[in-house]
Amino acid sequence: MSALEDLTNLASDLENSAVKDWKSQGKKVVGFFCTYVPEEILYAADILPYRVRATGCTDTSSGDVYMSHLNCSFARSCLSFALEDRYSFLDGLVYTNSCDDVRRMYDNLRTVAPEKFAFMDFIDVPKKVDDAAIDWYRNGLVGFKSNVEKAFGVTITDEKLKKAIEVYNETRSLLKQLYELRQMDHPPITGAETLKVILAAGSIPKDRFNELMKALLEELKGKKGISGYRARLMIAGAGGCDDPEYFKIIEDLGGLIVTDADCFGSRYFWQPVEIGDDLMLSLARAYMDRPTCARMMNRLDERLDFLKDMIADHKVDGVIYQIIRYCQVWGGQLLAVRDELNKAGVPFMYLDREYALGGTGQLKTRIQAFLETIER
Amino acid sequence: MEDEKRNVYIELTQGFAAMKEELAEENPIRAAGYGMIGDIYGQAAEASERGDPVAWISFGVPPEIFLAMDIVPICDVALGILGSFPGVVQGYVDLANELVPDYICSTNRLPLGLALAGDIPHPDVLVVQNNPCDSIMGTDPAISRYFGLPFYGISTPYTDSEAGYQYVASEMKKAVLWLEEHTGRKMDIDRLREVMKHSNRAHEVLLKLNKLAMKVPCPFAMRESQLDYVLFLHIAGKPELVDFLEGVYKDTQDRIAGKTPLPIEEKLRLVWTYAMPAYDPVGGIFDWLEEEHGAINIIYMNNNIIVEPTEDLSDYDSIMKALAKKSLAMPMSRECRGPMESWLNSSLDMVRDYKADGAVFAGHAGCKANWAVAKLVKDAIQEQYGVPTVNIELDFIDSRLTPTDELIKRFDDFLPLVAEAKKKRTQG
Repeated sequence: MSALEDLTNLASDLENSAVKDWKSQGKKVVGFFCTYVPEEILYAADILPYRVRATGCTDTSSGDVYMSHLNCSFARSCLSFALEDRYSFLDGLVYTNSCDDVRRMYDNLRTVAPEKFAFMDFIDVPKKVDDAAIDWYRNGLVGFKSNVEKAFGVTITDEKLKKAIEVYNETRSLLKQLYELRQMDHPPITGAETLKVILAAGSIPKDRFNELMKALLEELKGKKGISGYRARLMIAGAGGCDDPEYFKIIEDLGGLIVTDADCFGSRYFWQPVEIGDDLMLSLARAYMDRPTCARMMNRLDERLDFLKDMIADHKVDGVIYQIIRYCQVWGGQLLAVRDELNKAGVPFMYLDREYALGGTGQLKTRIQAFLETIER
Repeated sequence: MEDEKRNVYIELTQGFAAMKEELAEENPIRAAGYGMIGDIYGQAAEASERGDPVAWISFGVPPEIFLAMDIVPICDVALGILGSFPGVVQGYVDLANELVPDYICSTNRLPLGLALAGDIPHPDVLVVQNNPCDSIMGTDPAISRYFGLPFYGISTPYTDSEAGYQYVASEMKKAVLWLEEHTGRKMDIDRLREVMKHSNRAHEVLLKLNKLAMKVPCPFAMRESQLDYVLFLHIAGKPELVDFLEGVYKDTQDRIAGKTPLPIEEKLRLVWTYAMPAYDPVGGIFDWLEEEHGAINIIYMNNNIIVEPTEDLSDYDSIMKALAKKSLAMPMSRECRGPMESWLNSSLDMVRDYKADGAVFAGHAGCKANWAVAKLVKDAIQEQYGVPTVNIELDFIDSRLTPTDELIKRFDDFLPLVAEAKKKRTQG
């Protein structure tokens, strides 16, 4: 089996074989929402950090009992899965105030079904980036580390944490190398395949992932690149973009997704953690001071710069800005993104959609029309 | 001939002046309140005309800072007050829909639409807190960039704590320095102290006034007081707000003493655990509830301002810390910023303190955070106090989603449940 097939398989099921192996050793798995949860803290506690998603959820009725149709379907899907014990392999959940929908998902879950997870914790992430905010976040991480230690009876030493950061930095470096390959005129990997790789990164032990990534990069070196595509595309926008099938629909129509600015993509791994004397400060600084989520009020200019850099580096012909419907942070930012890309002469398409991949006819029609306007 | 340019600040001034005049004979004190609201926008219009600084601020950003710096604060989301004038907001909201999704809070889309249309003078700066919701955070930075307006974001913590107050105080001090740089206006500590004295007094009187509203029968109805929140968002710190509230307080005491009539013969008491439709400000659903059903609307969340006066005005640090605490305690920041318990407890307290028979959640479609836990709050109110809640989806400022006729239908179904529940509680 090739490394790509291996990684693809690991990304296909929520409770994948790596999770099962881990659990069979009596070890714990803790799920997290949002890229503002530093996985290294869990990893240093010999706990598998697991990026929670609800891929495949087609019925949100369990979550809809508590949340409204006005809430995003990613949050309602995850709440449904949690209430239906689809995350029974998780020993805990970690939330942040990443957005209104996710923080309220936590409120609902801890109120109506606290028994589902032995450990639930919440990290307060400031909504701007500056020294004071980084310091505030650092203190929150110290509290989180302490809560993990107490809940799981472990001690997270600086030595273990430093080792975890090194492993994670290697992951970041390897994924970045993958993205560099996507800058080529004939990239050796599709967008859908890349998303599967990143999903695997969020749901298996990083040391194993790193070994598979090294093998994948070797495989790709010898692979003939993709040609004959109609346009090079970028996916930008909100979280919840975790369904490779969605990317596949776009690519089946002839578009090739060559990069992204998304939290299930580049924002997850783009910058390494610079290790300093205070490791919690190192983590805080790195997680805050990287390509940011739209929740960071004072970093809009930097986000737009990041977007334009990615467009230039990956020779993007058009940007698909996708949002899970009712996401207000990314929805509000649409005003600035569209304006900036219009000024830069970059073709742009805005899509809002439900989390579940339902009827795809309209989606295909819109993508097809967009490709016709930008194809090479 | 060129059409004269619209300026909604001036239209609001004129609109509220007309409302003041209309109410002057029946209720001169409340009429004065309308006049004060009109003056807020009149001053913004004049300042813009003169080239003096106007700041757009969000809920929770203390107006006291701006008043002390001689900057006119306009709460951009409260421009939804335009909903008071039928048929005005829709065109602007629709205009904004061309650039942002239609599920962004309409109170954010409205200022965007106004600015796009050129029907409001651009502010000189935007100063925004990261609460109560994602919509403000997502939209205001983008609006500032789109129109090239300087933006400052104040970060607030998720929960209240001593460290959190210090953090917000520090954020506000940085905001003051930023304002000095971007407006040329200086913070005057003596002026700030004066402003704080007036703000303290206004909050004191409001707390006393709201205590009177807890009486049975209720001496004043929400339709009389519902725009008071807008006054606090803009002029907490001006002496005229104190004078106005003291007038209302005296008038309310007179009603209790039987010198003047109570608003209605009270049969059912309703509290609104969240906001209320701004598109139906005078008359409409509130008159219908009171006149047709004797259901008095006592208070809504935004008027339930519980801010203890600042005792220590000795130095800048203590004042800024007090303002930090205040900003987190103001309605919206208090209920929507943190864990759901903050809204839940605020709702439970209102139901208990105001002796409600029924609770109304007028759920603004843009308020995702509250809709996400509306069932939990409704269930808790029922469980703790045996009081039913109706959850109604609407848009605060745009009547198209749930017109008044539709509201009436919802209340037609709800009020019998309220009466039945009251009967059960009374019979023990």
